[in-house]
Amino acid sequence: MKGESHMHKDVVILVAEDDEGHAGLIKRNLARAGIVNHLMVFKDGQDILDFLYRRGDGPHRQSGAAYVLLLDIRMPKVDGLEVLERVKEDPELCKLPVIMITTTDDPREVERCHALGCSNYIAKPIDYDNFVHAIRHLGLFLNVVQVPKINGEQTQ
Amino acid sequence: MNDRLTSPEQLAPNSRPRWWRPDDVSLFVVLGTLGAAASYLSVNIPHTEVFVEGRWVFGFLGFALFRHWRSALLLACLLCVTGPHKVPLGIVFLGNMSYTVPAMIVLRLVHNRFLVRLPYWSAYGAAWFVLVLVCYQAFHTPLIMTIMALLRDQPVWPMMVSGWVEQPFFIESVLVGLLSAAGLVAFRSHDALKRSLGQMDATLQSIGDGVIVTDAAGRVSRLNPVAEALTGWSFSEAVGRPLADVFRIVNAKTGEAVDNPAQRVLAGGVTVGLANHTSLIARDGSRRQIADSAAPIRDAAGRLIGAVMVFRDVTEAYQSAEALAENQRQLDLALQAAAMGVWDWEIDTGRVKWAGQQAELFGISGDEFGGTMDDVQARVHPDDRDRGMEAIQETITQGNDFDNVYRIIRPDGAIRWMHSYGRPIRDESGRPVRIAGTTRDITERKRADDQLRLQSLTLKQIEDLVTVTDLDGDITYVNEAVCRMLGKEPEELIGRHVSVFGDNPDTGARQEDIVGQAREHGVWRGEVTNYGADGRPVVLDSRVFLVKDESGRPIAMCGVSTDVTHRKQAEKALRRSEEKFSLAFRTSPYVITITRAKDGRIVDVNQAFTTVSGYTREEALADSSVNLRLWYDENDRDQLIRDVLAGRPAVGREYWFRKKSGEIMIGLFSAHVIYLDDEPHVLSSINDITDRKRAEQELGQLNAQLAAKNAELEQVVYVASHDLRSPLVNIDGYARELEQSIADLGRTLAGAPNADQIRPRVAPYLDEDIPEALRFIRTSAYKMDTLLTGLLRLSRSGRAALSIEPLDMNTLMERVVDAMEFQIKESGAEVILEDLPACRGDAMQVNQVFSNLLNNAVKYLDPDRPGRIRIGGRREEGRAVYLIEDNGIGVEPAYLDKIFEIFHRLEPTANQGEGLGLTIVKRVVERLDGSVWAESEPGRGSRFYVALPAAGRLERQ
Repeated sequence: MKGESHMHKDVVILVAEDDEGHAGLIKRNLARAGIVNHLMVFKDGQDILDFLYRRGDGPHRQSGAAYVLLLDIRMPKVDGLEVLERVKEDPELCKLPVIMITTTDDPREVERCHALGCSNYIAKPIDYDNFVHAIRHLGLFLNVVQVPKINGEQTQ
Repeated sequence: MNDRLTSPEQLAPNSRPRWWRPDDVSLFVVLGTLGAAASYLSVNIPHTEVFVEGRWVFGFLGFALFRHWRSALLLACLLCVTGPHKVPLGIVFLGNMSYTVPAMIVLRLVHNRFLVRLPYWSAYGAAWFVLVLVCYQAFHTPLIMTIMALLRDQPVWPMMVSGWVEQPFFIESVLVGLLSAAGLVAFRSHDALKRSLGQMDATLQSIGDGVIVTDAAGRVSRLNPVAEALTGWSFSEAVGRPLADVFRIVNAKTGEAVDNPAQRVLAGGVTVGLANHTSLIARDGSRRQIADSAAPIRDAAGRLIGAVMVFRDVTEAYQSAEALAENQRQLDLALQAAAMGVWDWEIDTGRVKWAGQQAELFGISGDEFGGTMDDVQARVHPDDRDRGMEAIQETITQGNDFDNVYRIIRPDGAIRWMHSYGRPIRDESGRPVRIAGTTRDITERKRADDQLRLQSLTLKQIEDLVTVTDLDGDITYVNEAVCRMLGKEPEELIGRHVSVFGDNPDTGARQEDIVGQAREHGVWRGEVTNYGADGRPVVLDSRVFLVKDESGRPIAMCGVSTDVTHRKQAEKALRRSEEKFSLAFRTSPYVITITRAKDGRIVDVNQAFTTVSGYTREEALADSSVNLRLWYDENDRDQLIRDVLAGRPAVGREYWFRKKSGEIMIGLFSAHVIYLDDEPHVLSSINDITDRKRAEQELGQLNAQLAAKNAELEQVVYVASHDLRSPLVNIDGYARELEQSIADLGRTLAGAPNADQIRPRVAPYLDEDIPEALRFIRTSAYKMDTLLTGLLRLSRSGRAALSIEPLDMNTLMERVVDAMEFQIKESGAEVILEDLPACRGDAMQVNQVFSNLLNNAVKYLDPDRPGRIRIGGRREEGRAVYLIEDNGIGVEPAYLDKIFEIFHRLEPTANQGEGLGLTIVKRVVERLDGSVWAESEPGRGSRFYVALPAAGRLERQ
């Protein structure tokens, strides 16, 4: 599976997920799918916003780097939808591909995310096999997309 | 009259010329013969006086011969050839002829040319004398002398010359000339007289008029045959009698004797006509109407020598003239009496003749009429001219009678209605040349007709019922209103007694009595109830009165009735309504007040007012709403008064009022303005809604709370179902991780050096306990997820916005079946889709309902027999009812009610599903204003019914 990876190694995968278990599962399965990029996990919406807007004590995003954001909807403090909204509002951050990963399959929610400008939407199935399948698909997806650099040139 | 006197037919037979009139010529013949005899004798006795006399005789004979030359020539020839002295006699004859013939020729020429107008007797005689003298001198003597010389063989010339010069017969020639002239004149005058008398005689004989001639003394001298017939006297009897005996005349009218015209002529010497209306009494006493005239007869010297009277019988003419005059008089009288004019229009010339009263009708005298059609037209009213000309044209072209009613304008401006009637008069070729007719003034008649017509129409159309009877009460007239009420024709009523109208059962007033009273007192008035054509009672306010003629004598009875049924009903209804209102006012649970608009003075209040306000009626009536401070806010009252006075009634307004206790009352308030004694008052009705308001407020709060709770609950369900899934993801995910880890561990152990020793000891854990535990964990997680998914859908089904529209269920159901095609194929079931009626609903929701039901049907098919699912539908009572019928396992009747309950599932293990399908179906259908129910028979199958509002419009499309 490792041979399948074509995503630029510089692209950093940002995972905003309050549930550590979920984050672990995502991480494991992406690794199984051959995604070896650097992966950062943020425990809530506030953290990821701090990172993106370079605030607070935590890590800050680097200019000229390329990111992909995997975003859970239900999170404490600031929920995923708000994060998505804030990201898409920002003239620079709006280039950031955002993939919603959430437990709900409520069509209205899906619709809303798309309206706000998410790049993709993945429902977290309770069925582990399905989940794995979905994450692997995500891995495939990440391998083929072109991820633009934030505050820099576009990566190949 | 004259034509009868001069008629040529009557004169002709007697005017024929006669060849021989003995009394004229015989004289000359005798004289000539005597002369011839004398000259014969004188020849024998030469140089005697007789010879000379003989020549005179020839003079006379010459005339006779000249006038009747054929007989004279015959006589001369006889004398020449028979006498013994032929030659001398011939010479004498020639000698006489030698002057007579030229003289005759010359005189005739001269007379014819020059002497026609000369006095007859003198000039003619003188001329003759001169001529004879000259001719005698010129021819007679020289001729005689010449002949004598020839006979005696003497030289001719000297004898001729001596004859001219010596004139031996001068004295003779003078005598011959004088005598012959006198003879001529006498002859001529006698001849003329005889001729004229002869003609006159013939005329008198033949004339058609009676002629009587008298002498100067008035005695009858001549009488012609007509006069003989008329007078009854013959000529021989009448001659010499006084005229008055023969010609007795009297006045035809008075019978008095009339002066004889002949006597008047003789007395006055002038021509007189006869007095009119003269009757002649004949000898036998019969009378005849005559017309006569008389003229004097004078001799040549102008002396009155008689009178001639001409008369004729005019009895018939007189009678017919009299009759004609009478007719004319009667006609004139008739025309005058009828005020009728007569007119006659010559089509070609356009001349119009008027007679009778025509001019008077046009308000002019006969002289003022111009006599032309243009003049007539000018007097016709301008609006009627064209119509008149059209009628005339029609008469001319089609030959029908001219009949026209038109107006004329008289010179004084009066407008009169005329009726002219005429007929065309045709010439031999049938072409109309004239139109003649009459004219009548129909103004009065027309006015009367119009008046009568108006009265008749009025009577006919009047709403009141009018009946006229004779004094016995037998109907002579009913108007339309009567017929309408009774539903009968006038013919069915006229002639019948008024009792056909029926007697009044309520008051016992009989028609007979009414008639009797009216006859006795002159009038009857009262109320009568009749029964109309439809059998309903009709209340009539009736007046019956005697109709009297000009002299006050009663001649008829007239009943005039007014239908007061509606008025009576209205009165009754009004009374009832007043009672009702009064009752409503008193007993109304609403507060009702009547207050004066200007100061709020309370006029009336009802029971509810005292109950609600706490004031007694007396307290209220003694004061005003303002003083009692009934209004919580005085501005409300001011606004209200302004509104109702401006004609905007207040309806359903909410105002606050203050009770006697000071408590606030919220009233639903309506008010109208009413006028009592011309003073505006306000009628107010107030519904105390204080409690209701309070309840409404509480209910509102409750509803708000409920809504909040609901929203909260929805949120809880949503969040719960969402958040509860997160742990499940981990539970399942890591259980799976564990399974893999156990598998890895197993494989690792298998490859370990002392696997044989360890393996048996861990085998129960690795192969059985741990996998079993993980399986339970994963199954539970899956089950939990299913339940959560169901809850989530349930909560969503309550939140989804509906878009209700007409649905074509055939299309929709096809889609539903298509979507389930895989499952249906897998189950091997047959789905029968029938034609479905349209309904109204939300397409997505309805789709979900039928998806669920079809899914259920497929799911619960009996595996022992081939599945058969029928989807049908029909319309009933505004609903579309759909049926999904299967031949599946069915449901026990005891469970039928429970299948729609939440989380109920018949055989939890037998089939997959969250158990919420029918619950959601029920909820959705109910949200769509429909209903769902089921019928089932275990082991045979189930029928699920869904009823939704029908969509009529779609079906029509």
